[in-house]
Order: sequence, then C-alpha cells, then structure tokens
Amino acid sequence: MEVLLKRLLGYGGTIATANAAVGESTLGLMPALALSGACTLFGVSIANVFIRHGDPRAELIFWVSLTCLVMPPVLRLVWPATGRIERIAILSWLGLAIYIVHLLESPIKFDGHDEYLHWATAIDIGERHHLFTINSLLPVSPQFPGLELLQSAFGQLSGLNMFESVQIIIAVLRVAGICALFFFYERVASSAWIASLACLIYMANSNFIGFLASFAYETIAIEFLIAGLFIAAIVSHHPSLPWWKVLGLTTPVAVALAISHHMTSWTGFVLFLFAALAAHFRQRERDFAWRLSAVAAVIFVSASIWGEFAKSDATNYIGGIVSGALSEFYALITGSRTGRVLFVADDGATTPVIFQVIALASVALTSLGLAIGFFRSLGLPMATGTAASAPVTAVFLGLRDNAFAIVLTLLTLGFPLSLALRLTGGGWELGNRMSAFVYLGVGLVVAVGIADFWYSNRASTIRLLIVSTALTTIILGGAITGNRRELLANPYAPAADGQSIEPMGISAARWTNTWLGEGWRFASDRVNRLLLATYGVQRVVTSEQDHEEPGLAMFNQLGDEEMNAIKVTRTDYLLVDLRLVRSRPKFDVYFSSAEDAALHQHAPLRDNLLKFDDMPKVGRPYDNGFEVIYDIRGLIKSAQ
Amino acid sequence: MILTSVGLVVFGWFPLLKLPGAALLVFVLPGWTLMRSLNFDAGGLAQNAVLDITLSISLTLVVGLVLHFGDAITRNGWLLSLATLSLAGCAVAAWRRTGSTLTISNGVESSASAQPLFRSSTARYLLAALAIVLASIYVAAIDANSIKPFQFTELWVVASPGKSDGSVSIGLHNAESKAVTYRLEVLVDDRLARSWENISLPAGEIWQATYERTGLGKYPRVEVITYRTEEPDRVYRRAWLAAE
Repeated sequence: MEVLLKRLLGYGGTIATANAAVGESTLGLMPALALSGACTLFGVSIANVFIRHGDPRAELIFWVSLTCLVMPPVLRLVWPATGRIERIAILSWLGLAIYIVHLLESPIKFDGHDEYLHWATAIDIGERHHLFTINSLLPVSPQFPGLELLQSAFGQLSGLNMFESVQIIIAVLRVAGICALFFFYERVASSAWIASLACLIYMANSNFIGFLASFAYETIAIEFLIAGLFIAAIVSHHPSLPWWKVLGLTTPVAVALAISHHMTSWTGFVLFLFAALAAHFRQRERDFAWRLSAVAAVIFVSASIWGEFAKSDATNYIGGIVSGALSEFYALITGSRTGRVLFVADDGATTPVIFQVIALASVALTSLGLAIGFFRSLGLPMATGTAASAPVTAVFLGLRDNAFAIVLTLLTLGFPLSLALRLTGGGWELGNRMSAFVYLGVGLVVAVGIADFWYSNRASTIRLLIVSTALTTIILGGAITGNRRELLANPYAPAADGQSIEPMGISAARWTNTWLGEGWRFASDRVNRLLLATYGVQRVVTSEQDHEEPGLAMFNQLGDEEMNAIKVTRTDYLLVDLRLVRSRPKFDVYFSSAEDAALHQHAPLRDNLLKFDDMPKVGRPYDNGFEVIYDIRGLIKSAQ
Repeated sequence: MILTSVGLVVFGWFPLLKLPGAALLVFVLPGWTLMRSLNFDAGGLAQNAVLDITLSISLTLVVGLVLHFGDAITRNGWLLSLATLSLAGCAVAAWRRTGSTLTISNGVESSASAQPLFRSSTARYLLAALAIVLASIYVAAIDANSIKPFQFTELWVVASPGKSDGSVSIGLHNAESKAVTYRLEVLVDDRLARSWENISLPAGEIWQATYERTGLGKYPRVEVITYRTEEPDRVYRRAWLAAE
C-alpha cells in the first residue's frame, strides 16, 4: 500500500525530464500560430466594439476568440517534439497576445484604478524632476517609483505621451519576463519542454491577463524578480564566474527590484534565502549555496537601504492589508463572520454557470497537477554538467539536490491559502495578489506532473488533446478567477472604477486644471479623484494622506463631523458626481476601503448631493448637468 | 549605435523617429555594454537579449536615482546620463576586449542544426500577423474614441485669471452631439445684469466672455444661467460665484 502510494505521488522517484527534442533552430509553426492568433485578437477587438455598444452577446465572441488564441499555442507547446527556439517564440507571442487582449479593452486611456494611482506619481516626477513627491491617492507609490522612473526616461526621450509610452514599456516587460521565466525553469528542470509547460501554467495566475499588464508597480517588479531568479540560476551554477561578476550582474537587478516594489523585493529575498538554505543542506557543492546566499544578501541589503532612504512606510501599509485579511479569515473560520459568496460580485451580479464551471475545473485540474507533481518536483535532480555535478542521490523527505526546485515546490503550499483567502472580502485581494508569486511554484510542479503523466504511457494524439484541453481550461479559469468582467470594455456605470471613466468626467477634471490651476485641495468620490489627480493635476484630499474623509460631506447632511473633516483637511473644492444616485457602488467603495459598509446599502440622495446649492458662502463655478464643482473655501472661512 | 540613438532622440522631428533611439538608450544599450564590459555571455542570443534588456532597465532606474539628487529627471538629464553610461560601458568593454568571454551553457543539451531562423515565408506570416494586430488595435481605438456615454454642455464662471478687478470669466462648451443655440443670463445679487441671446455653438466649440461685476460689496454674488432655445423656459445649466 505504502509502495503504491509512493509510486502514485512520485515520492523519491525520478521523472523523465528528457529534454524532449531540442529540435530545429527555426521558428517552426510560430509564425502560423502568430497569424492565427492575430485573427483571434481581431475577434477580441470586435467583441469589445460590440459590448461598448451594449450587445451582451459579444461576451461569447470574446471567450471563443480567447480560447482560439490560447489553444493552438498550447497544443504546440505540449507536443514534446517541438523545438526549443520555437517554444521560446511561441511563449513570447502568447504572453504578448494576452497583454494585447488587455490593451484592446481600453486602447486609448488607462482603465484600471491602480493605473491612475501610479500615473499621478509619474506626473509629479515629470513636473518636479525629482522623486518622493506626495501622492495622496496612494502615499506609498512615490516611495517605490521604479515603473514611473522608467516611464519618465522612455516617455521623455521618445516624445510619446504617458499612455503610449507605458504600453510599450509593459509590452517589453511582458516579453522579457516570459523569456526569463522560461530560461529559469529550463535550468531548474533541465528541459525546454517542462519549462514551456511551466510558463503556460504561470500564465494561468489570476493577475497575468489583467493586473500584471497594467501600469502598476508589480508589473515591473515581477519582471525583476523573475530575471533575478534567472541570473541567480546562471551564476550559481558556474564556479568559474568571479565574484565581482556575480555582483555586477545581480546588484543592478536587486536595486531595481528594491526601488520598484516592497512586497516583491521581500518575497524575492525570502525565496533566495530558502533556496540558499536548501542548497546548504542538500548539496555537496558549497559554492552553489554561497552564491545563492550572496544574491539573497544583495536583495536584503538593497531592500533595507531603500526602505530607509525612501522613508518607506510600506511595512505599515502591507501590514494593515495582511492583518486585515488574516483577521477576516480567522473570523470566518471561527464562525464569527460570514464569508464571501463565491461567484457573486460586490454589486450582486452572479457569474454565469459556464464560467463557474470553468473556474472550478481550473482549480481542480491545478490541484490534481500539484498532487501528481509535488514529490516529483521536490525530487527533481540538479542538472548534470553544472557546478553541483556531484549531486546528493539520497532522498530525504522527498528532497534531492535541486535547491530551486525544492523552494518552488514548497511555494505551492501557498496555493490553497490563496484560494482560501478568497472566501473573505478582505482576503480576496491578498489571495489574488499572492497568485503572481505562488504560481512560480505551481507552474513548475504542475508541469512536472504533466511530464510524468505524458511519459508514464506512450505519447499519443489523445493524450495531447487531453493535456492541451486541461491546460487551456486552467489558463481560461485563471482569467475568469481574476476579474472576468474587467476583461471586456463595459458600458458606463457609476462608482465602478475603470467602468466609470469616460470623456465627460475627464473633461471636468481638465477644466479644473485650465480654469482653476493646479494643486487645489479637491475632495470627491473614488473615481473622480483619479481624474482630478491625473488629468486635473489637483491635490486630492484622501483619508490615506489626510486621515479624514471629507467626501462624506457630500453624502450626508452637513453636521459637525462633516464640517470638521472639511476644516481639518483644508478642502478647497468639492466635485460632486450626480450620477452616483443611479446605483450602489460596484466594488463596495465610494471613497476608500475603510469607509462604513452602511454607506453601501443604498445610493446617495440627489437632494443631499445638491445641498450646497442652498449655502450662501458656497460657490458653484462649474456645472455640466451631471457633475458640479463647489467652491467651499468660503464655508471654512465663515466657520472660522 | 549610441551616437545614432542620441541623434535620433535629439534630431527626430516626431515620435516615430525618436522611438527607436529612445528604445535603444533605455532598453538595450546600458545592459548590452554592461554585459560586454563584464565579458559575459549567457549562452545564447535569446538569453543575452533578455539579460541586456533587464540590465538596461535596471541601470536606467539606478541612473534615475542619481538624477533625482540634482533635480535632473528631465529629457536632457536622461539623454546625457544614459548616453554617458553606455559610452563608459563601451570604453570598458573595449579595454577588456583582450580577455576571454565566459560563455555559459544553458544547461540543456543542444543538438540543433544550423538553420536560418527566418525564411521568407516566416517573414510574410509575421508581417501579416503584425498588420492584423495593428488593425485590431486601430479598430478598438477608433471605437473607444467614438463612445461618449454623455452628451453635455459645460457652463462655468470663475474670477478672471490674473485680474483682481472683480471681473469674471464666463464660458460655455458644447459637448453635445449637435450644434446648440443657447441664451445666457448673468444675475448679480439675484438681479438680471446682462444677457446674451442666440449663442450658436457647433458641437465641440467653446464660447467665452468677460463680465465686470458691480453690486453690493466688493465682490457680489454672480450667477450665470443658460437655456437652450429649444426649451427656453427650462434652466439648462447654472453656475455662480459666492459673494465675498
């Protein structure tokens, strides 16, 4: 029984990591796949056109197109005989194509909430010519300005505007990141085939199609982390490489990682630290372990120095998010709080059954792959011909001598946690963000599981179809799990982040800049704040920066508390969006995530929003019929 | 290549010319020269390209930090520093050229035969794919640009910028789907002080006027109200400045 179980789980066994056909050094079928994929992207584009005009059937066109985009490259990559160069080319194309799917949803302006937060920082850098400006939308953003700095360099040298330059940067990061991931996996698994499968599975992480293709700091930081792993895998395996060269290659990337994102740099440090520990315990080649330790140390020093230099309060920021998510999760376990209903959005919209089935199938197949691949991946041997070419052959708790494989495999233990966190409202975001890191391990382990599945019997067309269908399901499920409704351009809705951003709101924000000038202290709702800070270049008042929420004064009667919030925050203007009366907020937020949930029970009343009309000391310099701007400086003066 | 990039950035008349120069300076040259100055070869064209790009981006960020201290995160600051860094890397690489390059194996046995990466059919397929992708983006962009969920008119009244004589600037912006004719009234302390009849504005056009306000106090309340001629009795937009 024990033998059977061990065999089933692959404990202590070896897998056929045969480098399935290096193949011809040509692009093979990649050009044909690119052509067919381009046609499916046209289908995605048409689907977006239809849905912008209110035709809900466009969603079917979108998902059929997306399936047709993903499936052919998957079929080709699953086939063991495909050549290595062709694999790299196909992965680059697929990664880029998935990014273009994101671009087609909003091809002329930023769409995601977080993109505007970082745009505000980029504007400040461009205007003031130095770092560490104040960003009241996201105070921690200027402390990690990696992506904004890159935009500043490329945007100013190329003359492209913010949106255009950012799209090119993200495309470059996407292709470089996918290639680096492939090379890293290839070194860990000693197989181009497994590496390409692992990259495919990494693309199934719920952030890949959307968040990691947006103008946010994780987008660049993940690329640095992956590149760091690739460089570490190179330098660690070559004892002939002098130490100063090791540092010359790793230090710029470690510094860039530290500048770019707090969470990713510390995650990188932990990964390298554990890899170094695994190498110390499981390898005879000590130099390998010391090199990994050096890389971990460089990342640690870079992140620490940068944290001090930037006077970063990221620890509090992240600590708040993590502790909030964990306490909600604990409350769920102990039964003192109900969980989030799966497949029901904050605004009450239910996910159609077909998408629920695909998402659940994706999780089930990934879990199956993890079960099959866990011990097999844990026991992956070190590549032959490397520095550690005297491997520990004995198996200890399923571990062999491949430090990166050990760490990546153990990283998959975060997979069930990331799923469980999604059961609570506060934990959803943390679980979603975790997926970008956890899937570094999930990719390898599931790919190793697939490799074993393939080689345990004779390769066949049936097997190709089964594995390809499963992988396509996993990738589509990941896209659905992320935020299905954000993948398509949706018609306008109030209080719905990107869906609420349209030309009139932008025009109002630009008007403030033209007629009032920059830097006035404006209060407004969550969406209009973004526009005021970016198109209007105003100093938006937020609870994150100013510790009070003056926006509530718009919704409630103007009592002492509301007046005090206006006074304390020295708010000059209020932008009131009358469209908010139409519906409740899509993401349970009118102003900030810390606001009272009772606010979301019903939409605000129009009379409450317009109460300032009756106050003699309040001016109303702007009206477009849907939005009005109130000048409340007189209100504060009279109160004083 | 460095000088060409700088030339394109400096003398390029429009972004399409500047783009390749900027891309080389930001995404390629700093990392490429660092790799050469370290005499490092990652084991293949693709691996080297990925390292070139990653190291270039990393070094660009480090350069940005240096520029920060001089408040020099400007176009000229970037141009000068990235070009200097790349030239310095080239100089070091040239000085060290005599050393042997360390080539790293990719850890995977390679039995690939030497075949051309690109064939004419490959180029045709890729160009067709590129054309279709660009067409897809173009179609999506044109459509997204045409979507205006709200047709609206902006009305504003603000103290005239840069003047302290109490004059106010009044403006109308027609962002409706068609030309609109407006009537506009100015009320000072709730009394009609001035009106404009038949302000015809084609879609997208702006109308502006300046009004010298006089009334009770130094700066009395000034209200502007606009009507559309098709609904002459219904207030369409209202804006005002509070009395000071």
